[in-house]
Amino acid sequence: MQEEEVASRPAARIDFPRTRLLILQSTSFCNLDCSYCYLPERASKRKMPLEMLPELFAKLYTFPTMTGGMTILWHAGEPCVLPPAYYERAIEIIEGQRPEHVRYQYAIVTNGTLLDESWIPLLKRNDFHITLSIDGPCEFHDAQRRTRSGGGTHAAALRGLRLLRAHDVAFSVIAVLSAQRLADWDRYADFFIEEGVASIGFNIDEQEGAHGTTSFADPSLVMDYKRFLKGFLLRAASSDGRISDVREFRNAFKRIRLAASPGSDYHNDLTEPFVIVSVATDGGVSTFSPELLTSGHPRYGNFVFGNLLTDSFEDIVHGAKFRAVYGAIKNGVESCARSCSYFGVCRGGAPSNKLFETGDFTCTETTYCRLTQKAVLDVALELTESLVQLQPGASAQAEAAGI
Amino acid sequence: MAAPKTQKAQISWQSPVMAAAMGVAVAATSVLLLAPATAQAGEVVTGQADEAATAARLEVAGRMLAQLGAGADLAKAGEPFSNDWTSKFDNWDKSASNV
Repeated sequence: MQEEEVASRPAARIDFPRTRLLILQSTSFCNLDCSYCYLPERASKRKMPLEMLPELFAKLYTFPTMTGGMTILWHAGEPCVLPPAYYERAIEIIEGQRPEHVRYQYAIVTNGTLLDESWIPLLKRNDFHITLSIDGPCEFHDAQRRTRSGGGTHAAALRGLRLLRAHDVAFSVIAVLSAQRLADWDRYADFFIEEGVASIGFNIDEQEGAHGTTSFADPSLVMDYKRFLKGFLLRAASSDGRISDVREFRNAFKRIRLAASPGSDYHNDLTEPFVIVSVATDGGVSTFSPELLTSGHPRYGNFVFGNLLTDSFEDIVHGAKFRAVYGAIKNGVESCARSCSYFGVCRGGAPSNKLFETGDFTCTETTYCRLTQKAVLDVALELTESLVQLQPGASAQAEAAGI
Repeated sequence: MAAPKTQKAQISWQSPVMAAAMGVAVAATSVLLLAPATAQAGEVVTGQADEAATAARLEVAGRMLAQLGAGADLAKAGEPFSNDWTSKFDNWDKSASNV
């Protein structure tokens, strides 16, 4: 189906899955200038005024998807360039308006360089989920995560990490991996063990937004990536629990398990509207891949589908741009369903990666999905099949399961 | 070409990272044999997967994991399941909390 056909049809019923992640761009600014960053306006010091929050949330609560539990994540800029008092007041406002049928988990993604003692009460009192962006050992980290003058940031990030540890504040780490580091799983593991990092996820340097290339473009790197994953998991498994959570495998086993659950309403968070809601500093709202909030494309312009200060939910979902993008994303999912053996678990890939790698939401395989979906699932499948072969009694269980 | 390393490493399915990944600790005696991380290309884990068979393998593996109880904590009444891409941004296991 062509996206023009979708755009010309009456709007679909508004029965989307509920919102799970609400991203608030408290500021577009970042004090770092990382080589792989997708944010095009990270030098801009725009800020979401606190005075705007009551109106923003009043509008958000008219969204039928805003129900149940969800995470509020401050992201799309470095949130810690604003003081903790900003977030204290923001949470007061948000909680003051929160309907009973909505629950929040507050979260923050930070480079850690601006964390100091003044942040601890806020983070503890509100039980923040904290994710630090640290790319492993100093040599790896400083090659990618730099200041605007080209200086390294590892030492400052480590100060933040150690501050959290000193105050017993739980945190997780996301490390961005480049293809040049695929033989270095031991060095990553050594570093994370030494620094007391128990929960780790590896993103890859992606081709999207303001970052127009990826170091993983060569398809043969998939093999090396699998070796990396397996090597790191092996180290984690032999670390006596010091590395207790590797996101790639945590997610992979759940995906495999849940996708095969009879009757489950298993979906893709990135291709269903409003499961992720992203709000810019000026109240502009986007959905699908969070990267779309700050990105543009010659075919579509930007991906801001409305403004919470002026537009209703109905305005947004009936808008021509939203319907064109949604139609194209759905076409892409349908193409994946027809052509990809991993579709049952993946459910259609990441729209932003499709667009920025190929120029088209309707495409199928991307470098991103070859790595983060297919490669990870291949390794998880092998482990699962090994379990079936090696676990005492597993054969009988498999037989009982009709396998 | 460098000679392939033959050392085998073992990983317990009940090691903390695997138990956490699985959402369940299965039999303590279960042991997975992992090919050495430096294994030569061409081993199953690093070889090109047979995509045609992958859909069936995923289905079987999902049923096997369910049979073993993996991820039983995820089956919350009324909660939709998802390919949780949100953890790309915050790396938190939302299924393990109330949100």
